[in-house]
Amino acid sequence: MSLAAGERSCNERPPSEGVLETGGDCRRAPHGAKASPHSGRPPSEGSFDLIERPVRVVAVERDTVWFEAEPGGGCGACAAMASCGSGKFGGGKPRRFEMAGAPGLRVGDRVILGLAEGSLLRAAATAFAIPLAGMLGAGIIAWLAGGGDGETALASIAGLGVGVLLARLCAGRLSRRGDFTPVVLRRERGER
Amino acid sequence: MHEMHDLFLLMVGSALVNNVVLARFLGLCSFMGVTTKVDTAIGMGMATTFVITVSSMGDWALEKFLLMPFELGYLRTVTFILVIAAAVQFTEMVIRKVSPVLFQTLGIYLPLITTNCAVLGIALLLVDGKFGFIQSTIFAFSSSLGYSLVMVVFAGLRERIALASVPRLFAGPPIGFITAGLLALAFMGFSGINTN
Repeated sequence: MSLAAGERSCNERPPSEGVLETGGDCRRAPHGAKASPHSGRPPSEGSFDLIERPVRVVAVERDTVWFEAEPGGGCGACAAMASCGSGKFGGGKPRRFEMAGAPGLRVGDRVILGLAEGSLLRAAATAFAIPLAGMLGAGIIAWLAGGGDGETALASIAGLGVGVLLARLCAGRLSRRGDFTPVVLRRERGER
Repeated sequence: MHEMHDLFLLMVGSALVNNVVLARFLGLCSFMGVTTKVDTAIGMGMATTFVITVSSMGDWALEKFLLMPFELGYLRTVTFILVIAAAVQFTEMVIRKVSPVLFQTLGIYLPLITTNCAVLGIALLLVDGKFGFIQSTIFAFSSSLGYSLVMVVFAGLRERIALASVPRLFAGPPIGFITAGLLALAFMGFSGINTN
């Protein structure tokens, strides 16, 4: 089977392959892939179907490790990235984030982080669906109650605010359960 | 109940009959670029739905209270692009506040939305429709829901195609475009729905 560059199916990749892919994005690990001994807390659902993301260690403070995601948009960063609008609008801007409980990592290490596939969907539902439901629900209720455009708009904005607060509560609960916590799958020692 | 019936028809019409990707051919860049995995397609679809719906509220207000009364229609495209960029920044800010971990998980999709022509296309279609506030919001929401639906369906098809034995010359984007064409033909069936 042949696929275009950047579209290789993760099912084709041998589990032992150690070469890091750059510029890529969410790639699913083969079924059965498990976190390494260096991993942090495993995803709470117990699913081993993971979405992978290459990152670089930029700082280590006691138990906390700071990562910087390698540049590349959600589209997988094709060969036309240089002339692509998404690259210019921040697709190439590295994003920093921290993770606790990943011992043995040093500054400069490049690692592959894995996130349980259900986590991405739960994260998207929490961040987008709850505020949107609040906004549309409040707007429709105000409209059915006989409100004009102004009242409906105000009710929608209020509903959006309530939805964001609810999303914050849900996100906090899921974060405490460890649902959004990635695990370190593989690493490549960097130059010091 | 008559109003709800009208809203429902507006939703079906904008999501399926006049699907933004397969009937209006907008957002083809992300349609081909982000549909290699179902999970990423769902993530992108939800992020786009949120941004389109939120920005449609700003677009409606600016059109009604600024562009139309002062006859500034020639500034419409620039204004709407600014509203969309602001909505993306707002979304990014809100998610960062809601949960930094969530932001890291979803942040990759947000910059892509600014350059998605489907977002601007839907905003411009709202003006043509001359809708009230709630109709405009529902139109934007259901259009983006149609966009997300097509993204997920197409991602599922591409995951299956990746496992199939495709002739070398057709592998990758060519078979993707052929599949998209067949999907568009299938969606043309919805134009036969009688909405009266």
